Amino acid sequence: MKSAVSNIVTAAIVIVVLVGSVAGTYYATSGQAQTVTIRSTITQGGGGATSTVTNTVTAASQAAEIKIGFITSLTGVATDVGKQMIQGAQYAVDQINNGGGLCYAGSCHKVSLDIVDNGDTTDIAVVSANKLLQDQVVGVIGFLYTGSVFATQTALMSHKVPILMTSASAVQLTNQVLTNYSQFKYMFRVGSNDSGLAYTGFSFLQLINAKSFYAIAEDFQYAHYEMGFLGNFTKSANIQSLGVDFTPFSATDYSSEILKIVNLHPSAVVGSFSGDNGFAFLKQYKADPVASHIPIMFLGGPWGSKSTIDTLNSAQPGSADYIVDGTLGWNIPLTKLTSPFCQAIEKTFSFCNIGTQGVNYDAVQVLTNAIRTAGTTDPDALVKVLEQTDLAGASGRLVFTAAHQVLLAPGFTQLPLIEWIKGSVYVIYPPNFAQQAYVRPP
Amino acid sequence: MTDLALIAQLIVNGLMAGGTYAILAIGLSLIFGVMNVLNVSYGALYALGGYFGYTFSVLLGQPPLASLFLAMIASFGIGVLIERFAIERVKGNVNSVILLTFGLAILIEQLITLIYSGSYQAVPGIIQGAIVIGGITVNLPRFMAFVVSVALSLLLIVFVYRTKIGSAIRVVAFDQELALLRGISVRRISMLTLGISSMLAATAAALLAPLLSLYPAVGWNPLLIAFVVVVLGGMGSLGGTVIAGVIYGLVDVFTGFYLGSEWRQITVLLVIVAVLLLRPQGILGKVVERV
Repeated sequence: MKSAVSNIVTAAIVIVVLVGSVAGTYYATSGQAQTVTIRSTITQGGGGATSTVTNTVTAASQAAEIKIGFITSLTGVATDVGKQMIQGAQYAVDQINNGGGLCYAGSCHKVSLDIVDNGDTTDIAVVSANKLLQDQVVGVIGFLYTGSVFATQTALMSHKVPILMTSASAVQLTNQVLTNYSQFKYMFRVGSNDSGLAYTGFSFLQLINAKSFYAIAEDFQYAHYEMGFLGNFTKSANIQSLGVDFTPFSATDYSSEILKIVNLHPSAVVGSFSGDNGFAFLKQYKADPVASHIPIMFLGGPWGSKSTIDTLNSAQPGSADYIVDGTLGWNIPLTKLTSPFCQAIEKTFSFCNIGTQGVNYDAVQVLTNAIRTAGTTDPDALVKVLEQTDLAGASGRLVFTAAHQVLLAPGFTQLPLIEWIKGSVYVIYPPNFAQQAYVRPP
Repeated sequence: MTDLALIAQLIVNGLMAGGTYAILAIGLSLIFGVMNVLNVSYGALYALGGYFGYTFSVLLGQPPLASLFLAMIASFGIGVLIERFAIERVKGNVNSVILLTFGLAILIEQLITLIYSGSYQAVPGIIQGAIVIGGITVNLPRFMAFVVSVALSLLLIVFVYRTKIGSAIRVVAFDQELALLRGISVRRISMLTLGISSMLAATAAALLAPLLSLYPAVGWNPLLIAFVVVVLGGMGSLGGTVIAGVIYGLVDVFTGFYLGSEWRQITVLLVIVAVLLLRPQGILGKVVERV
């Protein structure tokens, strides 16, 4: 009797384990379990009326739904960034639906995001991209990693699915548009690329009159590209590179790298990490009594999020102080839309990050605007319209170059530098947006 | 820094890193030595231990030291349950054990994600900062992790080699049939072993979480490190695991400094291959003679 009960319990546990594994994997890699609750609060800038609109679907639901694929990190080390990307995109979708839907060719359509996971490895991204193809999305926005795009672009391009990358940053991705237009014309990037991000590092080194620098990055392809560009920029300005370390993704101990930095004593350290491994490095860096005094900046990454900074500081006080991030804006008036967007987003999520939320908001607007203008979801027609885009977004004035990259320049999409001091953020560059001068670590 | 000071610093860093690698691996070595089981869920138990520590210290506001002990106890319990209701049923079949423990690893990771979300969680440490002794910088959280690792490793070795229960564990590890003949409950020893192993994984996580990161998938890298250290030290050899952990730490740190970060993993693995070519059983592993 005892044996029978024990056997039944054991069998139940085994079944639960197996079912749980399958279900858990499914839910972690699909958008089904991901729910984003948005209270869409649209504030009219310039002292106008404030209206709060709840999520209601009007007559738009009658027409066929427009599905926009959205691929980002739902699992792995960059889930925080992925969450912010979804927030921005979903906010745009809610705004469109609250306004009656996406109207073109005489009918209005509800818009929805088909959210899938790009994970930390390309095989997850491939599975997700195949799902989006099956779901017949009109376009795909997002992509956290360059590798994910390379792994999925053949399938997506062959099905003529427009891609609007908002995070994957390799210049090579959009250069394909120039070298093989007919195949890659559906590829666009809203957001910075490696060259633009590297330029923020260069801007920082010039800002502090650095004579030398040391670079450390995770051993990902995008980081190699970024550091390559940074090396070229700094060489042209006679800023000496004392070395670059690409740490394994699995690294937990950064004592060697930090010791090297202490030994070489550069004017500044430039880092590039996309997720939690960067937090481990920063904690260990800031715990070192010598290294912690050397200015440090990061090329993009998760450092634009106040919740990240607060989390770091709560675990290790001061670990996120005096760090600089080259990011896509921080509630500075890049366009007339930036501040109202940030105010609305902050009301819902208590912080605003243009580099994650703003860019993905813009990408949804760019794509839906193209559908509206073209009067169709036909990809070839969309490409023609996308190429003519000139839109004021939250992240800047969005105009695509011949390589389908948003123009990175003052007056268009510009990457300022921000500095965190005791949990507060300050824009320190460029001069026309700077709120205060850079403060060196004490 | 002078060359001598540099080398001294590297040795200190390597020893401290090695200590943490040792405690990461010793739990895995114990399971393999006693139960002859490759527990793929060990990394997930590491993650779970970290989240227990986070729950007690951050969510329930317990003091860090108390949180560490509570996490160890909770993890011990989980290990006992896993052995009693899962692994024990499939222990006779290696493939079944691997499949089951792999499934458990995924299940634990997904449960953590559902309960805590996939976001990075910060865990405050028991101790913060660094001290400088004779020009050598000692990171205090890492030093504490090293000290606790060494203390626990020694305690475990004393427990296994100097106590009655430890003696029973060794008999079970040597020959389960002989253990049965001697009236030793193999089932209870196995439960105890997996409980201790989980507790050690949790301890490693709780000590390292303040230094590193805590997120649901955090256990997979430690699993890899632990496996490499166990193989290098000799599967089932506790002393060998400690020595191997230290070797791993020193090689990792010296390589990272002199050759660059991208050479760290490959150099460590090359060293391990070289050792295993000379001693296939690992540093202190025993040669098993087949008749």
